[in-house]
Amino acid sequence: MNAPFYQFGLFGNDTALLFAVIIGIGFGFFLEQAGFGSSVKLAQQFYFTDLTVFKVMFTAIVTAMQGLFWLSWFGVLDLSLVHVLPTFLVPQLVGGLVFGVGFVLGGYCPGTCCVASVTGKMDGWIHLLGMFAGIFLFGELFPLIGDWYSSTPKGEITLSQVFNLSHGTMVLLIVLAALAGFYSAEKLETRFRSIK
Amino acid sequence: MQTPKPYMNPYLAGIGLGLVLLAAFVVMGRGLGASGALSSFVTLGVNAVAPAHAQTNAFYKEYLGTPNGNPLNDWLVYEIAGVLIGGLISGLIAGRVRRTVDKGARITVSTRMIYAFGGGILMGLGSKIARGCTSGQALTGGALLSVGSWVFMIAVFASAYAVAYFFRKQWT
Amino acid sequence: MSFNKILASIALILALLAAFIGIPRRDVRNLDEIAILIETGKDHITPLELAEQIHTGKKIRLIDLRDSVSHFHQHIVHSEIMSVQQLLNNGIKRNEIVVLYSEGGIHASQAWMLLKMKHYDSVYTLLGGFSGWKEEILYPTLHAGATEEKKDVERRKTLSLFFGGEPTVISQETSKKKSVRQHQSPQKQNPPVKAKKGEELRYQC
Repeated sequence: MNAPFYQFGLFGNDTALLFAVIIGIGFGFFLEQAGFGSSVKLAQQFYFTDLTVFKVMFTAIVTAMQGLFWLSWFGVLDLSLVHVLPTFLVPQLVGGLVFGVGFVLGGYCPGTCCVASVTGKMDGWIHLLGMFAGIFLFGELFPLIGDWYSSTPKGEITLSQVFNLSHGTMVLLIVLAALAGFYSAEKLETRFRSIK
Repeated sequence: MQTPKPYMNPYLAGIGLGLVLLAAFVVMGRGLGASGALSSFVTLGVNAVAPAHAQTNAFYKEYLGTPNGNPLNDWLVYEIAGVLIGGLISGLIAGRVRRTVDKGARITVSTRMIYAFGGGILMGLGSKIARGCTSGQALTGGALLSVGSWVFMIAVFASAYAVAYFFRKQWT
Repeated sequence: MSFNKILASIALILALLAAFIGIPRRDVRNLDEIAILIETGKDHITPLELAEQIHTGKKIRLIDLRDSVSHFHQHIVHSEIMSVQQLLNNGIKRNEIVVLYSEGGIHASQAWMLLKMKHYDSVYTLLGGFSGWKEEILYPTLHAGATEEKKDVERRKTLSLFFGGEPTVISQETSKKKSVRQHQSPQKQNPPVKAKKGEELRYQC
């Protein structure tokens, strides 16, 4: 079997768009099921009373990461054809800092905000409008900050390359960190909920 | 109105989300995204109002696609359409679809709306500066062990925890 | 809670195995598969097939494994020069159709073997290498009339000219050699200079 299917030309662009909708449905379904359609639930992450965001995010990362590793090992998936986002260190750090403030203020992130909107949350719609404004602002500022935006390019670099560890060892380290995180998350939740 | 069903076990939801992400890798060779689709909509708007402006700006130009193509004819736009459908399906099944404003008990609706709009602006800016959001960077890049994505993720949590105290009234 | 612990244990066991394996790639593959490919001739493509496919616009990545002197002297249009090492280290992708050529073909066959071991499934060598290409496509001697169909000769003449070659057409009746040469616009940087015998041997690999 040759995966990624699209990269091997198993289907064309129109079918790819159909898959986009199907994959999107799955994405939206699990986001809503996790409770990410509610800004109050999402924001509890930052007050330690409900750490669902952390749990869901890291479980998803660990699942997909392990899946990639094992499918590649079984020869089903060619990892070199999976698009790794190139790293631009400083812009990504700064972007993350701005994004974090936006998260606490708005309560949603771009994906969860769509789920919130469609399930009737009015603050979700306003948040969506705000995001359009933010992207428009970025677009207008782009001629000024374009050079900085492309600064500190590191290419398609991965953590295993940086730490000089094998892919499998890096997977283990992240799984260990995630499991330790989940354990602490459960403890923290019980403690902060009792304080409240 | 029925009482909403409880949320899914977070670890199960995480596995479900991870498998959807994995499916995207296997089928397309790419991950998920959300902010990219929003950029396509913004570009569509700018192009409708001021086409010449959109053509000269490198950022909009990237989302315009082929010269006579439609900016909405994009994988992420279709994916986000799916997200809306999937979210609605889940919400209907669980009885969570209702018109409401989600906020803490200590603030008014209008304050919440101002915060939501302001947060949206920052989030739009931040996700564009970082080349992606929680879906495109944190989940996708996280699973691919991309350095920039992990830096982004750590920065998001760090800054959110740093400022959370000042906005506690909104949520608790 | 115990359900979550089961999930955690599965994740941990898989991760420990992953760390033990290290690199998620099976490098050794069934050698019989490769042997069958060689025996059935699915390892190569003839110069004529290649010329036809490029001419009809099929997306093929051409890799020139000869040294840079030979490459800049003369090469097949749109081919890239690459060393075997570069080729093996992510020089190409597994979803690309790749044709390798060297002067005679041995070097390309060696590289082909290595790539097959690394699970590159759509890699082919050019039969006869660049020498074969020159003979078949660039400077072919075409016998018009008796043995070959007129259409065939015309087709090959078109192909040869497309790649900047100089076909020689021998017509049956007059037995007079006629060199056909037309515009050579895409080949300006790539003049078809005939190499001396000794020079050619040096590049043989």
